[in-house]
Amino acid sequence: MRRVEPCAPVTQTFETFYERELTVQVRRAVLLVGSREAAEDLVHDAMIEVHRRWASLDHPAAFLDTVVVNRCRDHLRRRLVRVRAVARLRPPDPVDAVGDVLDDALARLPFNQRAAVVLRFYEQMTGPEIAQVLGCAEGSVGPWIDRALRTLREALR
Amino acid sequence: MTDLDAVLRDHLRRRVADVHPASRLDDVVGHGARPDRRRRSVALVAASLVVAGLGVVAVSGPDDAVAPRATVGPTMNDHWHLAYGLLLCGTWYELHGDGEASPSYGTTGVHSHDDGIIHWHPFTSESTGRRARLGLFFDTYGVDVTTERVMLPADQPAARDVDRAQQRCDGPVSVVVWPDVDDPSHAEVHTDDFRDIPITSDRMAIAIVRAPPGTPVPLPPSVDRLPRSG
Repeated sequence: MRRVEPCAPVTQTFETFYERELTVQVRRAVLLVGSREAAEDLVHDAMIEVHRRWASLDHPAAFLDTVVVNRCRDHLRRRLVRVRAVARLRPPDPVDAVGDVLDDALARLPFNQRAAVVLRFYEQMTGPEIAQVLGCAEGSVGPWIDRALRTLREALR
Repeated sequence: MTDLDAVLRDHLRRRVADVHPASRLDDVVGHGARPDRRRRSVALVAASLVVAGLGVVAVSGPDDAVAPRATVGPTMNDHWHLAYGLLLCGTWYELHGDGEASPSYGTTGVHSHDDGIIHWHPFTSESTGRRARLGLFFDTYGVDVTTERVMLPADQPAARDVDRAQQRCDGPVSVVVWPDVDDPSHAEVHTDDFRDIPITSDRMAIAIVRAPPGTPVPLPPSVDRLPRSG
């Protein structure tokens, strides 16, 4: 599932890069922010950022990874206040299926834990790769995943 | 691999298996902005025309952001002046000191003189052309501007007041940019990526605002102190 950066990026056009990355990035963003529409907009804006810097980027896929994750983080921060307000007004949704429980529990995880889980279990990234995308120390990734799995296990009981 | 690992992996894959986004390549390459954002930008300008001459705009919500403009930027021969102010929870603030003791000043030449005016006087290519971004001004003073909060370094006399004021009010941070103070009907509202806001011309005005969406934002008071030419 993990894609590989081309060996000779100078021969890669932005158009082929865009087509190769689009679906992967949007799917990842959907898992991070929970909304398909928001995910498409966030990835689109990140692609604009990549396109602007295209000539100076040695590793555009790595740059795009970071920009998309950072934009997802910012998006969730901005949404947080609104979501909290709605949560106070609305009774909890009845959940019975495992998938619903997992979605709900994933959405409640702190962003770094959620992102680490998505990158590990959906993207099958290694610890160092996750640390690079999230811009954190490698030693942080394992504990985040452990804590996230503990939370998810409790939610599934 | 534990059962939960397998359940998670399977769930995450199924969750996005039917996500097949349509390409917007032409939009990215040709225009650099989402079509819906361009419409909002036009709407924002039209709304501003209603108050033409006053230089007052309303702070938008995050969804009303405009894409950054294409930038030309200053050259090494330029010395531009930009009016700025921090409108935080209803009160205007300006930064103290000229910023010339900052490590970044030596290469960027970006400074002020306690007058609410940014002096954009590039010493090197670090602050020319497309590299001329608002973040360089933040670096001169050590100011941290996120989408949620404006933080001044402890050596700024207004640091505690700014901190206290923001504890008492809600609303996201926005940055309002008037590309030309002589045309106050045209303003852009940025709701994120503040460091990347391009510096494109002499006599711009910039308001760093924390206020609820819809709050009217006038030009910063320091526009009256702007010199006529750079």
